[in-house]
Amino acid sequence: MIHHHLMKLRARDDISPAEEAAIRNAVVRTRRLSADETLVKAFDEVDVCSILVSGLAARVKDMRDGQRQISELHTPGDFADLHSFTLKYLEHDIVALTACEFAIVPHAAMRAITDQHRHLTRVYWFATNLDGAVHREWVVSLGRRDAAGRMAHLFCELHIRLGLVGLVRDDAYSLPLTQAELAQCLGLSDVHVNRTLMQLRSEGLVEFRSGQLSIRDLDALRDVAEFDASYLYLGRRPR
Amino acid sequence: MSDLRSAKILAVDDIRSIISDDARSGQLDLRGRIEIADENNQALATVRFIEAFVVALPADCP
Repeated sequence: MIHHHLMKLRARDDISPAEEAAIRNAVVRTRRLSADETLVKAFDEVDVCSILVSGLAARVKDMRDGQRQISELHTPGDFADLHSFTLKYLEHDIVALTACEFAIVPHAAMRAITDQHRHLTRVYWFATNLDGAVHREWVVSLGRRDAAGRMAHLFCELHIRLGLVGLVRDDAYSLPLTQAELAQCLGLSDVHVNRTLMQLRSEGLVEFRSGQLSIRDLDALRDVAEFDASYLYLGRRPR
Repeated sequence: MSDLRSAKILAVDDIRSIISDDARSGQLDLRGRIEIADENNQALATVRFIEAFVVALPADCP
């Protein structure tokens, strides 16, 4: 069930059999959500963390006028709300964008991990730091990249993140986002997303059809995005 | 009718999103339009790009 999560952790560090067992034993149940259901509501007290097993989820905030901003996308293997362990409530919602399955880890189990597995604790500390790095890069996108650059950057980022957990084939991956949800990620309007997708397609960079994203020219797409994968901290280093 | 009003509001937002991006690269082309249609593709309304803005130009602008 949590093989994507383990793949994600092992991409950057060694996870021992004992640590793997601790993670597996920490999962007490699964929770299935339909698309648009809320996993975590902002400001609700939380006492569990959730590993995304399948589907696509997002961190979101809604404005008074109903406009939504997605501040992060969660893909299989992500610990979607690991930060809730120290924060105790979140200032944002986490919603399922598609049908999702989550593996539920009580905060008490996380506390046991921190008590008994110091290296694994540092691995999860790294994971929350990585979240911060991804957020910082999204700030750069929203603040300084144009529409094509923002979109290209997101596609390049997902190409790497999904690739780490074995969900990319021939530079193509499943991306079950509507154009409206893509707009919510990129701070653009729906029509602007549509126009930008057409632009990237006409330039021979991507094809996005029926929830499948195919990258036709990865180097050129990275160039449009000014993509530098350093912020994803891909190197394997002991922590 | 309220749906059409909502669609026009969304169209204005779309135009402003597009123009703001173009403006950053030095382009300001207000000649475009967004056509609003129903689910049967029947045209309902048109929102011209220029209608999404209050445009003020210098007095000496030709």
